[in-house]
Amino acid sequence: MGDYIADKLRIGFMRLSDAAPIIIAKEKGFFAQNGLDVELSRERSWAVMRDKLAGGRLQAGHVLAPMVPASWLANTFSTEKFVTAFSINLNGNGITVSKLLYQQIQEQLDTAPYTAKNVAKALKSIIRERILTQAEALKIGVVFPYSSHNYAMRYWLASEGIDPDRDVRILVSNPDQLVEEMRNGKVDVFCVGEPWNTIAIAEDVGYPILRSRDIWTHMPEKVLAVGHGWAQQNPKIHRAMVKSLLLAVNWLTRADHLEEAIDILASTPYLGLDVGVIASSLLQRTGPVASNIMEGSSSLIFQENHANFPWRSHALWFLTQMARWGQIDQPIDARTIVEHAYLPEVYRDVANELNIPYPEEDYRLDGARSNMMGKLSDDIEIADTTFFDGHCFNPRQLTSYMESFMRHNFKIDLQDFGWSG
Amino acid sequence: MNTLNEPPLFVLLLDSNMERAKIVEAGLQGAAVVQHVALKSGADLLDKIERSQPDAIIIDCESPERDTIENLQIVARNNPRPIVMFVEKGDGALAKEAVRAGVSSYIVDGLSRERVLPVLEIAIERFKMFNALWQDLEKSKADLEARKVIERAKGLLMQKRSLSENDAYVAMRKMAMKQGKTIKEIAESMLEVASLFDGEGGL
Repeated sequence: MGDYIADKLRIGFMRLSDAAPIIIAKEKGFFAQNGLDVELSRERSWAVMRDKLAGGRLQAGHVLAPMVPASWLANTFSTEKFVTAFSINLNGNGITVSKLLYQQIQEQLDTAPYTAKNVAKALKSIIRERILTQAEALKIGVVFPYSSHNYAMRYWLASEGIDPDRDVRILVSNPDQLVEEMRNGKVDVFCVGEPWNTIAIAEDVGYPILRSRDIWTHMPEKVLAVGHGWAQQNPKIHRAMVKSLLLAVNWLTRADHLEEAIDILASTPYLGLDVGVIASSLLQRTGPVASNIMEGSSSLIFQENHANFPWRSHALWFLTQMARWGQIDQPIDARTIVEHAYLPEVYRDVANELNIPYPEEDYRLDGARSNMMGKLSDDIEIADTTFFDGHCFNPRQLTSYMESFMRHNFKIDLQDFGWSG
Repeated sequence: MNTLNEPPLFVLLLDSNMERAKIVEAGLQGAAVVQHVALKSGADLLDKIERSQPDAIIIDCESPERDTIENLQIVARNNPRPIVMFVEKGDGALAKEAVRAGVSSYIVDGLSRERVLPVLEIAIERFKMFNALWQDLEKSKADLEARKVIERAKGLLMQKRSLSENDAYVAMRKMAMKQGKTIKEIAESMLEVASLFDGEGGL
C-alpha cells in the first residue's frame, strides 16, 4: 500500500447512515487500494461542511445533492463552486411527526391508509384549524435550506395547497439535533435522514409517518462533492475517489457484509450510535409497526437502479425547486449549471473501467412510467420513478412544468431560467 | 432526432389496444421515451397531459370519436403540443375536424413500425412552424396596436404643445426612459389622462 498518488486527503461526512459508502471505502481499504491516503472528518452541520469544502479544508464531502447546483448560483451561498461525479444514494429520508400531532392525524385519517396524499390532507385540516383558532403555526424542521428534505417537504405540502412560507413555519436544524428539538416541542414535524427517524421512535419522541420515497420514489439524496477548481486540477484523484466508492458500494450491498458494515458505522469515530438503531436503518424494513406506522424504514438505495449515476436531470429538478421557492432571485443559466456541476462522463469513465453498466443518457424523465430511451451500456432494467401526485418532470417542457406548480414564490421570470428544452 | 446529452423526447401514447401500442413503442425505441396510457374519458386525457407535460402526443385508435376531437381542441388551446393521430378507419370529414382541432398529422390506415418515427418528426416540425407563425402573427397584431396608440398620443402632443412630429416623439421617448416604461405605456397613460380633461384625446 505505501504508494499513494496524492498527499493526504480529507473527506467530510455527517452522522447519517448514508455516509456508509465513504466510511466503508476508508475502513475496508478501497481508498488505499486506489492510491488514496484518506482521513475522514465528522462534521456537525451542512453549513460547516460547505464552508470547509469551499475553503479547501476538505477535499471532498458527503453532501446534500442540491448543495452542488446551489453553489453555482450568483448568491452568497458558497464561495466555491462544487461538482459531483458520484451520487451516494437514493431515498433514505423520513418524515417524523410528534406524538401529539400523530394523534391528531390519526383522528383525521380514521381508517384511511397513510399515503402521502392522505397524510397531507389530514395535515391541511389540522393547519387550517390552527389558523382559524390563531394557534401557533405548525413548526417543521428540515436539515438545510438547499436539501432534498426541504424540497420534498414543500412539494408534498404544496400539493394539497398548503403554502410552506405562509401556513407553516419551516426551521433549519442539524440532523442529529432534530429528535431533541421535537422532544422539547421546538418542532412538530421533521424531515431527516436515517437513523434519526428510527431514533425518534426508539426514544418514544415521535413517529415516522412517511419516507421520502413515498413522495418521489428514488429521490436523489447525497452526492460526493468536490470543488470545481480542485476537480479540474486533480482529475486522476477525483476518478480514484469515484472508483473507491463504487467498490465500497459493491462491498456494502452484499448481504453477508451487512453485519460488519453495521458495526463499523455504529462505532464511535463514525456515527457513534447504537448498533440496533443503525441496523434497522440499513435493513430497509418496510412493515408497519403499529397500525400503519412505518418503522423507521427508509428504503435507502446505495446501488441498484444506477443509484450512483449523477443524472443531470436531478440537478435540474433541484434548480426548478430553488426557483419555485424564491432561492433564485436573479436570472440564471440552468443549462450551464447542470452541465458543469454534474459530471456523468467522469462516472462513465470509471464505471467502464470496472465493467459496471451505466446509462448512456445524461437526463431521464422522472415520473414517467418508462423514463429512459433505453440506452444503457449493458442490458439491464431501470426501475420507473413516480411522484406521488402523478406529475412527470420533463426537462424539455420546463416552463410549462414550472407553470403547473400550484404554490410557489418565484422571484424570477420563468424566461430567465436559462433553459430551452 | 435526439442526442444522449439532451433530455429525451417524451411521447404520450394514448391507445386502448395493447398490440398497436407495441408497434408505436417499437418504432420509437431509442429515439424517445414513450408512456402508454389507455384512452379513457376526455377529462382524464386533459388531466394526464397537464401532469405529464409530454413533448408530443400520439393517438392511435380504431376510429376517433367526436368527443376525442373536441377534447383535442381544448388541449390545443390550453397546452399546445404536436399531436399525431393514427386511425384505422376514418372518414374525410373527421380528418378535417381533427386538423382544425390542432392535430398536426392525421394518418388513416397507416400504422407500421417504420413509419412512426418519421411521421412524429414531421408532426413536430410542422407544429414548430405553425407555432412560430402563430407567435409572429400575435406579435404583429400587438405591434400594430402599439403603433396606433403611439400615433394618437403623438398627435395629441403636437396639437397641445405645438411640437413637431419628431420633437413629440423624442419627448415621449425621454419620458419612457426616465420612468422605465415602454413608449406604448407612456402613450396609453397620456391618452387616459387627456380623456379625463376633454373628450378629445380619448380612444
